[in-house]
Amino acid sequence: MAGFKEFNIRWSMVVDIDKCTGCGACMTACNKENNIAPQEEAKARLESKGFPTRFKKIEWLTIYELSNGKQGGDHDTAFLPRPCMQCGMPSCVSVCPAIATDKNEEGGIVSQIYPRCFGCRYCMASCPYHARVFNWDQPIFPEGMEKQLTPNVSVRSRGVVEKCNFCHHRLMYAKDAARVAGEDPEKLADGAYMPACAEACPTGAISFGDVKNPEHEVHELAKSPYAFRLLERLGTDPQVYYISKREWVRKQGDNYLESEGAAAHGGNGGGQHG
Amino acid sequence: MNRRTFLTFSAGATAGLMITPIPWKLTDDASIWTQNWQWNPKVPKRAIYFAEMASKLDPSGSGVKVAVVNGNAVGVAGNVDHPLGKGAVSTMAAAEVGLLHSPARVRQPMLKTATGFKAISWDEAETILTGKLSEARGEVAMVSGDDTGSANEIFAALVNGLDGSFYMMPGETQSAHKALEMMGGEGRIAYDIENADYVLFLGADALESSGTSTRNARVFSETHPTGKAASAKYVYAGPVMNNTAVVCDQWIQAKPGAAATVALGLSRILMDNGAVANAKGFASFKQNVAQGYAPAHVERETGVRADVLKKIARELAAAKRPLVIAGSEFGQGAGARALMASLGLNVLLGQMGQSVKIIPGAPAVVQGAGSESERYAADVIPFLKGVAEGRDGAKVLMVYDANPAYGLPQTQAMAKAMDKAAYTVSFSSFMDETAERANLIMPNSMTAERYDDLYTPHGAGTATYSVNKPLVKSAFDTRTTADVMLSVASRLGMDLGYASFKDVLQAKATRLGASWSSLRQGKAWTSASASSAQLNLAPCAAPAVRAIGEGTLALAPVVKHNIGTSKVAMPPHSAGSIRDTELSGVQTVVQMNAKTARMSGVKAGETVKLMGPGGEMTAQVYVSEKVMTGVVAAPLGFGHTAWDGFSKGVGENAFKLLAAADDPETGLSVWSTNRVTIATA
Amino acid sequence: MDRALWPEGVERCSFGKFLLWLGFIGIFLAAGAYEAVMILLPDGLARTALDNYFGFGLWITFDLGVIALGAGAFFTGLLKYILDIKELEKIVNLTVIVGFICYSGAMLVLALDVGQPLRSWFGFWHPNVHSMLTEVMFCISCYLLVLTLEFIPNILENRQLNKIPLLHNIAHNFHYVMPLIAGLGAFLSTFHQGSLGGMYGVLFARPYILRDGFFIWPWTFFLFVLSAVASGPCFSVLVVKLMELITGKELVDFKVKKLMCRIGGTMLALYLFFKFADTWAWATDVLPRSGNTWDQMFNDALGYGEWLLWAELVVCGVIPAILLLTPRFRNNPGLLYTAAILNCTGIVINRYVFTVQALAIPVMPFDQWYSYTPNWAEWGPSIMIIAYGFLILSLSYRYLPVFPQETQLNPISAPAAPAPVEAEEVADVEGEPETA
Repeated sequence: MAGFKEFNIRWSMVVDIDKCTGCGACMTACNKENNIAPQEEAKARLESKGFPTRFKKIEWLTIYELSNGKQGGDHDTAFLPRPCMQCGMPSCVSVCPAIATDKNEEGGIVSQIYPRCFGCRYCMASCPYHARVFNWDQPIFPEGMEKQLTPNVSVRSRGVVEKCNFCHHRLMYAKDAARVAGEDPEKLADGAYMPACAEACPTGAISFGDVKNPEHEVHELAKSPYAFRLLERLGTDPQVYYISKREWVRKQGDNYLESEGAAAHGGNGGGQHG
Repeated sequence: MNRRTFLTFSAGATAGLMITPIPWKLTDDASIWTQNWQWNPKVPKRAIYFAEMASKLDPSGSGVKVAVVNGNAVGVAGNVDHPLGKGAVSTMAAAEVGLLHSPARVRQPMLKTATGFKAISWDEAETILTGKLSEARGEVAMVSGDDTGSANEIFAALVNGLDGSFYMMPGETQSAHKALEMMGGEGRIAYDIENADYVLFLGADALESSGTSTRNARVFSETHPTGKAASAKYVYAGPVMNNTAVVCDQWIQAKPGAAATVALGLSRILMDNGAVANAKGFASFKQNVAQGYAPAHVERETGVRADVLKKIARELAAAKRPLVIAGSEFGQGAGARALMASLGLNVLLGQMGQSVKIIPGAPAVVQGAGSESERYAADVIPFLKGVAEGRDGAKVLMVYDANPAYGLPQTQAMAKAMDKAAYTVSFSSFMDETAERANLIMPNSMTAERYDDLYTPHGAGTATYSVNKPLVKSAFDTRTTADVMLSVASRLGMDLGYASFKDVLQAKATRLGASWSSLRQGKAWTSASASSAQLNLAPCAAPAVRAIGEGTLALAPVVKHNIGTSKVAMPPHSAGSIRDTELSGVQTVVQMNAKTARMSGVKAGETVKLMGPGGEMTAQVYVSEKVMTGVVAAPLGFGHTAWDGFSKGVGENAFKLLAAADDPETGLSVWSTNRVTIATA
Repeated sequence: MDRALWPEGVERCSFGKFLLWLGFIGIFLAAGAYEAVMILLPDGLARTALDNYFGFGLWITFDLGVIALGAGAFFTGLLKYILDIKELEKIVNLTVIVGFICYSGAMLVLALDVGQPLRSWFGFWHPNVHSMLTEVMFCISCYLLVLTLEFIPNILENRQLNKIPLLHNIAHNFHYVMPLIAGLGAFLSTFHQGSLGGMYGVLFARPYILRDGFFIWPWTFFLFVLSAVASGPCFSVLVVKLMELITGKELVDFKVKKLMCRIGGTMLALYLFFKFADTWAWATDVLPRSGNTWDQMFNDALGYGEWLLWAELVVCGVIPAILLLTPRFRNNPGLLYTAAILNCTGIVINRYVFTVQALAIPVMPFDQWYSYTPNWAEWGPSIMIIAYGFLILSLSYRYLPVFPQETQLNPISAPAAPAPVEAEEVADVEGEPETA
């Protein structure tokens, strides 16, 4: 399989699971920012025609609920928001027959080119994170709501795959702003570029920045002994890091054999990339 | 033409065609058409402007920036400069934009006729309302759910001028006013959570639905820096591991409505260990607490283990700036007791004037509106019950920024009150349950479309004031209710002293000493002034309210703002964030732990019937250890019978289960301790 | 009425009866075509039971299944034209037609399965050379072209067409270049059978199907080639048997069928050797490396139990291999056909689990198992393709000299099979797709 470029900038998200309340503000912000139609109309349309509706909604960011599986007072819960991992070694990019998804821009965001996608869904089959969703139907906006579309993101047609792109248009805005201010657009200040979910989060559970830039907070965060990444051992090299001080949470970030015990997890997620 | 020439011609034509641009152009076009189907909405190609606003839909009053393109609101961004928003965008603040074009919006004034609603003009609507009000003098009532706005002053002045009665919807703000009144104070309770190093939430879901939750969440975030040691400890005591408890450093399981008892139990331990307060009524408080509230007693009453209680008391005593915030788990129905008990505890901890302050209420600028606490004095529950039962007459009942037909206990009776009142007027922006029952709907503009203000929500750290101005084109033919009522007042021949609501806001700014031009740009005003008045601790040790209903399980209603509030149904863009542990298909999901399920004889996934003192509902069972034993948790916000496709007919309304009980000493109804019985449906 | 179009020296049923039969096939064609049109135009894939968890489902399984079963075409062609096994000329025409049906049918289903059929040429226009699917698209399209070229001489051999000197000569000359075409077909077919397997093996984030491999090819690449050549010949024999049952005539010598099945059995044994080795390597290397256990890969409650694996490897693998390779069993027609059916079933199970079970398994530890059941919108077009196969076969049988042995095995003086029996068989066979 093809190797992928190393970039000087590595836009990364660090999600502090211990701070996520599961309130859904990030999902709401994401939906609005990326012109994702409210799904009720679409669902009602499918239902009225008698079509199956399971897992047909468009959702770029999903919040999973994790449990430590214990009962009574020992029980614990955690919420895990899951955007696209923007993998360093994306399983989806190499499989796309038409280069409708790529990882070739400084920063390492995995793109999704809607007009190029012809909807084979091979990328969806390849992604173990379920980060990719398919437009099973036309996007339907309740009457008047189409006036509230943002200029940033085109509305996707039926029959193409879409996914989170770290609000890539915000990166473009941030670079423009840097150029206007006479700064280097390839050296954005910490916080100059933030995806909508990271901005919205009331408890500040989502940090964002260039994990390779020592001036960015995520640079240190990703090196935390509490940092981990999802399914790291499969070799996807995600650009999304999670942090939890709870060992059982870290352990659910990947699959471990019983014999591997505690040594296998909670390791330094970003060591080799920092 | 023979076959040979035909074949030659065909081959030649094909080859010729292939070297023209035609097939390639057509192929290229096909790829373009498939991107530009005319039924795909097109996005605008215009610049985005941001304008500041304080959210009125968000009970925490968070300030945000509205992204405007070509006069349309297209998004919401955080505003780091706003003291209540601090850069976050809560789901309800996002709904300020998400709901602008909601299918549920009332598009113009509507008059109920025999066959349904008919659209009328604003002039007709004002004429009708003026006529009804002048006929109903003395029997006019108005209910407002706006806890932060100056519009209430106009309404109260008008209603008072007609010898009517004015009510505020029950909630934390009313509880706070009542608690302060009983303890001899006045103003608002402010929590300096920013500087606290130990925060104990007793029931109050302070990171999601209680108080200034958006600000609290941001402060929580600052004190819990990612990847580093926390600078403050946050503890939540309540029956459900809700959005607040799940991130707190510790969750203490406590029965629904246990806040007051736990606070007094902690006070008892502290006083046993020698804590004293140089406060009025301390001796009586100490004596009353000492008579009850021993740890063992508290454990029996609330489920909080005595050793845990002692440990918390030790930690509170050891903390430099402890802060105890109490309230109902679902933001209403706790009466004044939880707050009074927690204030007593805060005083014992030496935090009055430190972590907890009493700050001035909003100054009144409209003649005849009375003071804030006067407006909060009357309890709307018995009034509405009376109307429903035909005891109290209300010839004209007006409802502003509230949905009493949906979001109150004994929902059916409340809805009935709307039907029983001779003439009901709704000012709702949305076709909600109350509007649907009204004779006349005069739709209010939404926050981004109107002038409005926001003064210090319950639980803020300091006094804050924000003014909103219209930022976007009105989506529909709606008007600012405050302006409509000023116009109606003048039609009635009453002079409230102002020609427009904007003038009221300007007067308010002047009274506060705030800069109008800065306010108009969306900048919030804050004031550090606090009252140094001594509170009387004597009433704080009142015995807890008994359980309501005979059921086997305690009911813990849970509020999540992505499902909606008691006023607003699920915003369209939040619909996707509803979890299948809250809603399964169109069935409400109630949660209980494995032990409770076993005790109740129900299984995961089973459809059950919950029977509470207020009514019944069916729901599906989800077994989760996030709920303490003996408790069933039910999400609020589902079961709308009005609104739009996002919420109408989705799940069942858990408010129906609740019944309110009288609490004669405080004069406020309480419904945070309901019990339910569960049976397989 | 259409007697003049029949191949020389054969007897066919009456034209009216044939029309009735076509009408019967037409019902299924129409029902499936309706679903296909509804999917292509108003409803899109929303009509199907596919979803964001199961982006691949019945159709991909169907495609992979028929492409494997259609492998009889390239493999028989290879053996006949390149390795010069003369006996196979008695069946090679049919294998070509079956191959043509399978590949063109698969292409039709693929056109439905992609979300934007009008853009399906993007894979050629903007090809990603790293994608196994690009390789599949190129090879399948080219191979379908090759199959068409292989089919053309047979069509031109129609009695009336063959009277035209030009067409006669074209057909004749085609036979000269057939070894070249067969070789090209074998090359293309090997690669796309392989790349279909490769499509799964490269999914390195799906431990159930991830396979390491040789150079750029994961082991599934080779396993898919082998399993296809193991099942293809047997499937061709089954098609012949089915046609014999329907027409009531012997069309191909049992000796040839035995030969085909022996070839299939040999390849099956070879395949199984590697498949067992591969399964072992998967269980002891791929799984532990990704932190998974054997048990995590199966879920009895949702229908993805271990029994599927054993059904594929033993019941539909080892058993038919033994039956096909042991002369005593192979000589028994009942056992031969049973073995052929088991062999084909095993390969279809393999394609099914690689497609569906692979997606049903939660890879993230906090994720869940989900099951997938196709709905009529997916079955309909699949059945349409089967009906389309029946249509092509019926027309070919009636008008083209598909079976060189037919006149010899069924002298024209022999009494025709009684009509009622024929009608009954027809009904039975056609009933099959619905219950499949």
